[in-house]
Amino acid sequence: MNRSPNSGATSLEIRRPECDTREEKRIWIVITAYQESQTVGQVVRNCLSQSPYVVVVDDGSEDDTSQRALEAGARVVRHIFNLGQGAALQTGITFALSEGADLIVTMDADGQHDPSDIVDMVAAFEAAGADVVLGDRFSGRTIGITWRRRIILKCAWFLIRMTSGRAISDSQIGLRLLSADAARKLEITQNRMAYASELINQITRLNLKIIETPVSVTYTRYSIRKGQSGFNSINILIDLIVGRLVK
Amino acid sequence: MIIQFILTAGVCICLLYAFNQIKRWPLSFAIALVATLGLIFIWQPEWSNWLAVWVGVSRGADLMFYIWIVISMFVILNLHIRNRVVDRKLTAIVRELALIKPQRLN
Repeated sequence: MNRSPNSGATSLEIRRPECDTREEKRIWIVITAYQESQTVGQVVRNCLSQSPYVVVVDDGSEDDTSQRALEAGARVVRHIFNLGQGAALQTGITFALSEGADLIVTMDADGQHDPSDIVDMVAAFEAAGADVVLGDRFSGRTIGITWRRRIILKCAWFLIRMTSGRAISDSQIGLRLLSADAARKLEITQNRMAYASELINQITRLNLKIIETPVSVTYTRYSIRKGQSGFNSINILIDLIVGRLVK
Repeated sequence: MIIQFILTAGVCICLLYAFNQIKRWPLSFAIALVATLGLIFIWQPEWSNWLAVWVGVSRGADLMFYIWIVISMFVILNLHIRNRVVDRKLTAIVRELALIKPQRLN
């Protein structure tokens, strides 16, 4: 157990038996946030209980998202204007790699993910020798999901299946774990929500080992309001097609 | 007759633009080709009827309309792709700026 330099909270990093002489892995948690001043502070505090290395990428928010994240103890990198979640994620991953991350966990700032799932994800990562671990809300616990959201996620599943040939149960989940090696190989070029499909396509192309672990996702009125609309699925499809045409 | 002169002036501007973009040869060639065909059909409209019947459309005006739709779609796609290229450059700049000064509370 380590003491967090930021919050004073205990952190897990990767818990190992005392006789284990292997080096502890530095886990950076990357949180992407846009106009999330309501929730980002609590999300950061929850994450700091899992790892002292937390970075919030403020994607050009006009509210005090950055300030709340800083006060909660996170490092903050800020886009001068809004680019989209994919772009924010790549910025966070680049930052984490530059800080010497061994593992990178990505997470949304609306509070729908449970940071305590990171422990299971790391355990699954080590047990399977994986490159990428995706959370799976359908085999885990999902609270408050709407039928509309289920349909959108099923459409995304179908799209990923068609474009990558992989049957990922929950490709759109924001809670992911990447090894540093995998993160260096992956490059998110889709600035907006199409990045999730792009990631799976790249993982397939690079032949990286991907596993899924059950996680819990809690939808609140706030997170549903902040989430994607059904119409955005069409934008994602267009982004993916045009993205393939752009070198 | 007046409309033919107006359209000819428009097509000539397109030809000048194609000449101006000569370094981007596939695009300039396509513009020049379409503009030249346009010029022919402005002054010989009956040829468009003959072509329309030949390709299976009854009227030359309909054929021109369909071709215009297809060309417009290509133009929109081309603009969208160029927009994406600019977007990527912009993203790289914004990311670079963000990473120069990460913040933390002291």
